[in-house]
Amino acid sequence: MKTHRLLGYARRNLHLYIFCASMLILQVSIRVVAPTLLARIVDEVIGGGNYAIFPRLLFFMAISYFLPGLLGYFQEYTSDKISKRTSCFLRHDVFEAITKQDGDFFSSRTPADLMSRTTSDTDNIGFIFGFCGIFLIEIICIVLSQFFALVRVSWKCGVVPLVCMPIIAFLAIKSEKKGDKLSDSISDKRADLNQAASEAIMGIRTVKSFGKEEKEKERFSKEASLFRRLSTSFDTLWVNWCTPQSAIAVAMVPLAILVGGIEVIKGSMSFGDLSMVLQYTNELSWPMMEIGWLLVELSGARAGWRKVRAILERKSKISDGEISTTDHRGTMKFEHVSFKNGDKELLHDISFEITPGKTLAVMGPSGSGKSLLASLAVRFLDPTEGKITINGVDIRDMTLRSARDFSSIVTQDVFLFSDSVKNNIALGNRKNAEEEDIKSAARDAEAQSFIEKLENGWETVIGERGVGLSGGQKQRLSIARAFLRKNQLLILDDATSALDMETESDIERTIREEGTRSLLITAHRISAVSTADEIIVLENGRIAERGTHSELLEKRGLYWETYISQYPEEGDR
Amino acid sequence: MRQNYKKDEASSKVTKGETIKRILKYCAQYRGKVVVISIIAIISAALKTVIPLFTEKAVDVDIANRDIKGLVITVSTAVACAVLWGILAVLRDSMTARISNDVVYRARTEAYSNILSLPLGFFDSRPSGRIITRIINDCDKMKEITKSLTSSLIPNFIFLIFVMGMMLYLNPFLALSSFVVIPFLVGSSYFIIIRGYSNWENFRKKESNFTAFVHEDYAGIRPVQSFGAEEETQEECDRLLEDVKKGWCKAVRRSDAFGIVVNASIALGYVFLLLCAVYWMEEGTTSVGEILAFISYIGLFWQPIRSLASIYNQIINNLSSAARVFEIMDEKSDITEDENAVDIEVKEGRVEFRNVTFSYPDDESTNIVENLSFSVKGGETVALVGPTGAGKTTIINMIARFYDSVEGDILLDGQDIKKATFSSLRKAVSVMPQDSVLFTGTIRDNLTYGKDVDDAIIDEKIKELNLTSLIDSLPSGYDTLIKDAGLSSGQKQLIALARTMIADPKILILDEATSNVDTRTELMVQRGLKVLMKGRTSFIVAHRLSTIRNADEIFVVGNKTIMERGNHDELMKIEGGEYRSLYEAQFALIDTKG
Repeated sequence: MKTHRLLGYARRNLHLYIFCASMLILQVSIRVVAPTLLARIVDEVIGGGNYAIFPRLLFFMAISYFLPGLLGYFQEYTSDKISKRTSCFLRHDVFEAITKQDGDFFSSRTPADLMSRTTSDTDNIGFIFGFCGIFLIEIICIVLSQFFALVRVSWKCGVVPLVCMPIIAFLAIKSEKKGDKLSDSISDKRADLNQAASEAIMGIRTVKSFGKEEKEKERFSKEASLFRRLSTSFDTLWVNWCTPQSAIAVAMVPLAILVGGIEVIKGSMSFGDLSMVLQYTNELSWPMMEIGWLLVELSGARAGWRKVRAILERKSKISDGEISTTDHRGTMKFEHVSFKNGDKELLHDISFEITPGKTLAVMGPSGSGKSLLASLAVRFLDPTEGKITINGVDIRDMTLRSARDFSSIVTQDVFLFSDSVKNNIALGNRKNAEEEDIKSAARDAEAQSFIEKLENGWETVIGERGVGLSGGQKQRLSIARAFLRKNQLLILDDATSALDMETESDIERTIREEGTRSLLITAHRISAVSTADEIIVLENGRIAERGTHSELLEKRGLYWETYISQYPEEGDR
Repeated sequence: MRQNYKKDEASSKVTKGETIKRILKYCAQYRGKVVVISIIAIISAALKTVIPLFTEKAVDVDIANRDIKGLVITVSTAVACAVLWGILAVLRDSMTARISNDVVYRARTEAYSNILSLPLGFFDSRPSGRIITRIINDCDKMKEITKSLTSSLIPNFIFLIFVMGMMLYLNPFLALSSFVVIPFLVGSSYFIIIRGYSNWENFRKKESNFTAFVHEDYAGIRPVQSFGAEEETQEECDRLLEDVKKGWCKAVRRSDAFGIVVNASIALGYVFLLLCAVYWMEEGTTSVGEILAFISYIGLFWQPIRSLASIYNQIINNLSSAARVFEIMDEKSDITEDENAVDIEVKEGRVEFRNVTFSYPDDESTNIVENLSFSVKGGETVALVGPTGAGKTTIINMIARFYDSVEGDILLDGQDIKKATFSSLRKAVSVMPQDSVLFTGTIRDNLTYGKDVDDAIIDEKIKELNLTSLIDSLPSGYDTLIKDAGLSSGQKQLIALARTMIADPKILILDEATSNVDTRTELMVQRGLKVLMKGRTSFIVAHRLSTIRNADEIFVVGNKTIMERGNHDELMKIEGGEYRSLYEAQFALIDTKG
């Protein structure tokens, strides 16, 4: 199963591998011919004085040196191409897999960490599939063919590589194992380094306002220093284990000559055979010197693959159901919904329904579970008990797409992309959104006037996370984004907190006037919820009170307390 | 101009030559070690070339003479050479490993320190993924350069010169005839390097685009998922990957050609040598033996060049990465500490603006604030109100020198902030930004944020802010890790608020700091804030009028200036005033409901 998936990537490059292999075979066979031509020139022309054949031999010799270069070029280029193609295939799949993950996945991993998995780890794997892999195959082929050729000449001489090779193999496997462990921690450490930098850079405002640049530099230096240590020990490991392998490979040649020489002296082998022994062992020795570092590279790729595989094979806890609908009108119902995180019950037995044209507001202090409710409605999470239905169908039985198309959510943490204003509003609809629709969505969100005042209007590129815009402007863009989708349910999850009151009420009026859409507001401002058809007051994950504004005021409970705190004058009356 | 992942970055301002010079400068700090490495490298290279000579001797002399004792001696010497070579190689490469990792560490931390000293505008104008990739990925690539420089480039070069010297010594004519190809080799590789370099630069840009894109996309995964933009982003991802692939193929297609050049040179070299050899043989100026020796030297001559060719690709690719690292190292901050900056001491907390004008660097024609003057007494609380985008945030950003005014001065207790050291300014002024972040670590780490503070003081501040119950509810109190604390965004803001309080500044700036806190919680904070704001000058940007009504003074910001100022009662008296209409809008909603 594990390797199966990787082989799939290799299969997609099959034609390139075949091309590479044929280039390789041609090249190797020409390389065998070149030295014989040079030898003939030396023997026959320079030594023998036969100038007549000189031009012809010279021409072929030049060709025999040049041609492998050309063929080698095609082979090298193709193997480089395979490296990058494989890493891009992997990147595509990793990106796809990450995009499908659930909230749990993202809360335990940072963007910087995931970025590292998507870029560096995939490159390491790609390198093995392309350049390294092909080189490794080349080496194995050479070693095997030369070894068998050697044994055919003299099995006694064959004993020398037969003893040396297992030692080298042992050292190589050992170093690969050690490298594997180190690669693992290097990959993690690189993610830590990414994390340290990414936190400080994304939170640069906080860093600067406390004047803590030095502290952040120190933190980064510390991580960088740890990374240096690991990386140095990885490089030294490479040296300490691979060099002895090379030394053995180098010593193998004279040792083979010793064995062969004794045979010759004893008279049981000819001089010609000895020269062949010399050639074959020479050919055997250089590939063995390369095996070490190749295996170390392999260990890096293996570590990378483990990390990547963990992502590729992780099943999102939020999975697709069977039912796909295109009709996105109707009623959403929460039926006895509870949500537990470990032992902690964050929501308990919540039931309500949101019918078309109606507004439901949820109020409650920080941490009372308001936002959790909103996350459940769009299936970022699933309830641990009870169910959420759309027109009577459990949303877990619906495809993710259908369930999420029912509603649009605007959250308190606005996330805008470093893209044009227009594309930000059209998120999810970039291909089919009409200019007019985008503009009218922006108008409804009270965003049009400020957008048109921007430097390049609708095409203005806003900074990452909406840098350069005020909190209110960001909120309006994210509201426009939701308006454009025209779904049945609009969820404003504390979304208007950065807006001034006037804008807030204007936007809410626009939604209500439309009449057919429903609205779920979570807020802590009375002004944001007072006009709702039903208000639910949450406390510690339970419904403490519910009713309309005036009903709740009469109860003189939690809602009333909040009201008094926000409008002290009203309480005085 | 603001960048995003769709647009390639500009090419690095640091040229190739300069990059090489600067890398050498880094290596020069290890001059002694580099010399030792080079010497070891030459000896080990020599040893390795000597071993074949011993095997030759074993065959030609010992075996031919049936001298078993001689054979054993010769072979043992060869094996000893191999062992010695191994030891020297280990020495050489482990020294190299240490140096190259050290160079990377230094370059990385140097680049990072410079980045953090840059003004906010730098961070606002580009995706953070772009900045991160330079200090992580590009620096990693730099290592490969120093590694190949010390362990391969320098020794190979020296070895090459050594071989050339030997050849010249043996027979200058034959030597020169074998060197004829050098101009061809240098010329064509120069062509490949020049063109190849810009291809690698281009590839790096494409990689950077991709990195910036995924980093941003992962950070914004929630809207992507809830708005069903998965397909859209996947297409974007594939498009960027296609660019990466194309950029890579274009780069390797050219630079792999170096192998062809080397092989063509070898072929040409042999042709020349043999032609000349045959000619001079006729003349009688050379012998067969000499030619044979030359042919084997030519093998040695090409060996370092071949090994240079094999690492050449990496070097040139990595060179463009190094140039990107140096570029970000050179990025100059336009908000800098004055050369003669002095530590300022802010005792009263008076804040004065004198004819201050501000516009963003990328749009100098639009003034955000124009000719603004005001002064605030020490210890006063000022609330800034006004429509979104009116410039409230800009005004307070200038007090902390996040941005510098284009014209005019800002004074704290009569001292110009542009003449103050950053450390003293930051001690005096603390900002709580819109998007306060908490860092990895414990609650305590975040509360103290590098400051040496007693638990007693933390307890005190937490109590003043009424956060004791929140801290008590956490599994390990102050030592709870942020990621285990499960804080709501409102609670996170409260922690960030406490952090500012512990920093204990004379001038306090709260930018919409309490907008995510529910009213009950905020009320607690308000009480705490009141105590803490005593004796501090405070500027609060908040939209909730009920929370700012208690301010000593209210600034209504708009029309590039402060339109109204005064306390709540004074401003309410102005018929048709801005403040009054804002205030009334809040109550209109409640009134219609009854």
